[in-house]
Amino acid sequence: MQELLGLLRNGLHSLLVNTIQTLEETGRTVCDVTNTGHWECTLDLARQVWDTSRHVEILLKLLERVEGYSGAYPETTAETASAGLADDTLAQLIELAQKTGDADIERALDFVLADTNARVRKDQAYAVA
Amino acid sequence: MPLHDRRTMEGVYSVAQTAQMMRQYRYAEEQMMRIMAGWIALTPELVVKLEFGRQVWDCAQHADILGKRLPELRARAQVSEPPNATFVTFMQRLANREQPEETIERLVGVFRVLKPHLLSVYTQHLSACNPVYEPPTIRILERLVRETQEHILKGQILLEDIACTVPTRERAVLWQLELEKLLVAAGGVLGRVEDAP
Repeated sequence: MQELLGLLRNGLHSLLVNTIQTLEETGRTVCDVTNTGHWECTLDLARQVWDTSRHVEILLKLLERVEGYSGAYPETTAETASAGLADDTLAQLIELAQKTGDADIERALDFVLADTNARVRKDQAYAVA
Repeated sequence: MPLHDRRTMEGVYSVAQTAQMMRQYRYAEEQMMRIMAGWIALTPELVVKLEFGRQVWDCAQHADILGKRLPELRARAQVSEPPNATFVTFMQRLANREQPEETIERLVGVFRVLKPHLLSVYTQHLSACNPVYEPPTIRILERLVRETQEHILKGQILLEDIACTVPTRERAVLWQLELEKLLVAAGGVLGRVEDAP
């Protein structure tokens, strides 16, 4: 069980670091890139900023729950967090939470995953258009 | 006793004036959204970073509802317009505090200067709206007032925490004064009388 919790703690921490990086990058995009873009696209990116900041909050709370904290592990931020990558990581973490029997962590991560799925669908719609 | 509608038909602003004000409010909200979004990466304090993240979305929604009201006022949708060049300079000065150690200045600019000013202007506009023929504008302004009040309160809490020494409080006050001077010179978000078309 301790090993599973350790894996969960490590996974949540990695996801937190990547999510903070995504938040910063998306914020920068709202600020810089969309100045001449379509308003609907800017609005959608602003929503993404809010979603991502909520995800950071959720991950901080979950880390606390498994007795971890931000900065507990050295992380590189070279690996940019794409929505697809986050999907895989989230699915793995949900599975780990199931194994540890923590339904609250499982539920909270599933809400994050639902947001990420919605984001992928929107991005695909933009790519088609 | 029969019910009697006591609302009057008196009003202050014309359709064209209201559209003009909506474009100017939209400019402030849209710029604020972009400024705070850009600051997220530059702000080391996680709690401030996350608050900026939340308010980026609120400002985006404010800009959106203001922009959607414009076609109902015989104007183009989703257009922003600054009142004058001095207000643009004010916004640029506010935005330019981009060093990691300038979180206090960033918070002061938005939560002690710009948002309190907007709250005052929105509230005054709201009190001047006619309840019979301007309910759509009233609904928008009521939301802006409510949410801007919440934003100011949250920003103030963050500032109290971060600027918790005499020197940092001094820094905050001096920066506020500098921005207030520019804001007054611009005539605020609605500009000076001579800016009116």
